[in-house]
Amino acid sequence: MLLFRSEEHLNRWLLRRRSQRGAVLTLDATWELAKAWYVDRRLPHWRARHPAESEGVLRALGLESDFWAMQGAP
Amino acid sequence: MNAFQPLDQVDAARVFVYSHTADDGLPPSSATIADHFGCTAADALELLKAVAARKALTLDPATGEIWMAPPFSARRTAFQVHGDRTSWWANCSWDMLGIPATLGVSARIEAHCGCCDEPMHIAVDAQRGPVSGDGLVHFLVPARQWYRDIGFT
Repeated sequence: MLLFRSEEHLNRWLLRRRSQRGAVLTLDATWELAKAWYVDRRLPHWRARHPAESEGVLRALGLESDFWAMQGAP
Repeated sequence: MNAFQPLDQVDAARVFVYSHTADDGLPPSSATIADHFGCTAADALELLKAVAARKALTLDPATGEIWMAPPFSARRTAFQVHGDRTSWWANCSWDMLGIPATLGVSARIEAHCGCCDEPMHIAVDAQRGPVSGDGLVHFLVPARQWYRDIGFT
C-alpha cells in the first residue's frame, strides 16, 4: 500500500503504471484500520485470523464493498 | 485459548521477535534468536519457519531470515517510523500507522509519495492517531488477494 500526497498524485501514478484504482483511505481511516488489525499481534497467544474474522474486522470499520471481501471468488 | 496456558516454543519465538523488534528497531537475526534460546542458528531458522507457518512472519526466501514481522520490516522501505528512542521500518503505508498502533506510542513518520517520491511527514499521537500531515493510502490489491504475493501487496 502506497502513500500519496493527493488525489492528483495518485491519479498520475495510476496513469503512469496503467493500473486500475483500488481503494483509497484517509490517514484517519487507515489509523482505525491499523489499530483494529494489529491490536493483538504482540500478545502471547495471538493466532492468525481466519479470513472470515479478518473480513469481520474490515466490515466493522465500514469497509464492506467487494474490494474488501476476503472470501469467495472475485 | 486459555491465557494462562504456557507458551509453546513457536509462540515464545514470535513474542521474542516482536519484543526484540520493538526495543531494537529491527527484527532479530537467526543468530540472535539462537543466542536467546540457546540453540543453534540452524534450529533458529527452523523455529522461524514454524512461526511463519502460523502466518506471523514472512521470511526472506533466499536466507530464511525475517523479512516482515508485520507491521515491521527488516528491510529499508519508504516508510520510517520514529519513536522517542527507537526507529522502525514499516512494510507499507498501512503498516507505518500499524507500528505506533501496536506499540501504543506516539511517533513521527517519514514517508515518501508513491508518485513523486517527495518526503512526507506525519505525526501520530498514541491516543488520537495522525495529528499532522496529509496523505492518501491507496490499496491496489483487493483484500482476498493480499496474501497471494505479500511482497507485492
